[in-house]
Amino acid sequence: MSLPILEIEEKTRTSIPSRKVVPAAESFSLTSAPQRVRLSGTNCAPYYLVPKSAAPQLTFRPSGIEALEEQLLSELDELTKLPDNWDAAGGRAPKQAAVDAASVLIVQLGEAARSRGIVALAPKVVAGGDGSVGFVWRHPSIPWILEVEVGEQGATFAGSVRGDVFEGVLESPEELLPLLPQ
Amino acid sequence: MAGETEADPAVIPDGEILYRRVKKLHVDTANQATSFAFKPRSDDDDGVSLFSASQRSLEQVIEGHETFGVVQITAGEARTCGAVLERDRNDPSHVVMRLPLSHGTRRLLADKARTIRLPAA
Repeated sequence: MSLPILEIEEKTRTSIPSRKVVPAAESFSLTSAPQRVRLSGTNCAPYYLVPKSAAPQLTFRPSGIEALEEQLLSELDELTKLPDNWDAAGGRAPKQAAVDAASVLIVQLGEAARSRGIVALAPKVVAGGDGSVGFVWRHPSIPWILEVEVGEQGATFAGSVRGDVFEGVLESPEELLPLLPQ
Repeated sequence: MAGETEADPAVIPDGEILYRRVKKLHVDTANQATSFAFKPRSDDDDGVSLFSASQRSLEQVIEGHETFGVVQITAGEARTCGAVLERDRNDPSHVVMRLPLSHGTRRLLADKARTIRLPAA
């Protein structure tokens, strides 16, 4: 039986391999949508979530996720330079405590993902008008969104999968892992 | 005449299109609104500001805010998310949206919003 093809394009500032084409595992649900799923970087987000079983022969991922973490931490640090009223609507500058907590969260999430075999994370860094910061993952080919919001009072998550919205209080980064598309 | 009533200018019909200015830090990788676009300031008593398309053009909404993007949602869609809409008595083009602060509620609102102008910054 021929397996569907998963095409992955890696774009990072320091990327070495430009493209790898590998057979996807039969259990990889993403291939049920389009026959060829092209996962490529957009803006500054070079990776998407890819179950390890989908592409076991990929070898660049450990360094890739470290590069992604570095990039996200850099983007979070940039948020601390925003002034009050950065949104021209009276928004507060991102709180240092929120940025610090988000930085810890993204590192812990990376560690948890690696230990579970989920190795490619590519959220976009976002900010709210109350000084909160966060991350948003949007799947490139199915209606799947996950958000994490980090404020002074803690972290919450919310998302939608094919129109169904879910939410909760985030107590551990590992709680996010079951929400990833598998 | 009996049976006729003058439309209350304060009323916001469900079909009314509402604009919300957004920055790049409010949208996701597909430039679609996130829940962060609908998060009021923590000390904000006025909720989230929107603009009535029937009262203010898109050009007027971004005047002086050229780097902003704009997302739109109808009043009816906002109400289905639990939002309460109030027209500013002093500026009828200004609509204040009060909604539960739940992250999921704001996510639902973001799902319904459509980007009509991309943010440049």
